[in-house]
Amino acid sequence: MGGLFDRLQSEIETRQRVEGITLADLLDVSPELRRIINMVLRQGEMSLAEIVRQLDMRPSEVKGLLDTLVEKGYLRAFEVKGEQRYKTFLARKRGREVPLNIWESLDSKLE
Amino acid sequence: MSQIVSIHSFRGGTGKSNTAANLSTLLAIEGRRVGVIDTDIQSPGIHVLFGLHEEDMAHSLNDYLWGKCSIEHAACDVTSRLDADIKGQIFLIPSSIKAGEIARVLREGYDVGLLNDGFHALIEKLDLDVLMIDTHPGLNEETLLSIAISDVLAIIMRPDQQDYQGTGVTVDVARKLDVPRMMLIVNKVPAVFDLDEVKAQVEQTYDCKVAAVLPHSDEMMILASAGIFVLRYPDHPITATLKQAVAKLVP
Repeated sequence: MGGLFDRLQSEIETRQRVEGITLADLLDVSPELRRIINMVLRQGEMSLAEIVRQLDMRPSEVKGLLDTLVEKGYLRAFEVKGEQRYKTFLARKRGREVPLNIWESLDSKLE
Repeated sequence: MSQIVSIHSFRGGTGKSNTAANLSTLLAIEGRRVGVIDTDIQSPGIHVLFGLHEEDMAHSLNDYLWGKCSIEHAACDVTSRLDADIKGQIFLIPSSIKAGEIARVLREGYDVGLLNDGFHALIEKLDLDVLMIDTHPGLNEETLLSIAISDVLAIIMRPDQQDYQGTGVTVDVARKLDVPRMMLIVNKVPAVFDLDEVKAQVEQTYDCKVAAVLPHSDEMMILASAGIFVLRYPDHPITATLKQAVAKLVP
């Protein structure tokens, strides 16, 4: 049975990685990680060097935190002209889950 | 250096859109290029203050979020509509007022990352000095985003028991999100209250500076969002207070 729960846990973690971070989740992240996510969010995107400049930490420490955030799926890393850059990966706002016939009924009345 | 200013309140009916429209106008009068974006997607309204009608909206924020247009194409230059001596410019990015399109956003959700990209693109493409975000009351994805990316957050509250707790929650959230400058605006204060006393009490309660205490105004009620108060009543005490507020919020 342990295998089943491990697979479920793995599936949940995979989905979380793929879907990005919600702003509500951001409030529950540790202050150290939240500071980085928030900083990148404000700037749109940032390079490793720019992030290091903003934080009073060693580059290797910052890189470690960035790797964690990328692994969690909260940041996306990409290269521009050989430079590593980061962007916050925000989760899509989900639609409201109400019975389908309510939306259908609304659509038919509003069109 | 451009700044993002979010106007927020925990409860509805506090005067958020009215305040955002008036502060934006005062900034534009000073010569700044101001973008006003209505992120109150489920109950938009600030377009009314700028005299924009449904048929005037070539595109809306909804169109941008659905990939139908770029964010700058959803912007409408409303400066000339105000018929006033405005040195700068005001661009409004309205949310759709069509019931079907509001229902679609509620049903399908949207890409929050795209909304954030849109904020940054607007500042760049329209060369804005200030981007003013008019938010939906309470805390949801778009209000949390606007709070998170704000350089300045103005939280509007009324002297009402329902507003007190909610304002405290919003202040706590903003502190958690490291908003660089946060100020409160107390609105619709009954004439019998001492405005200085209200200011002191609110500042002490929330440990946060108050940018303005605005008394209840019959003129504001009679105007009923049919125009921009500071333009209709340039010599009114509320206009003077709003001018002081804008100087504190966006020095």
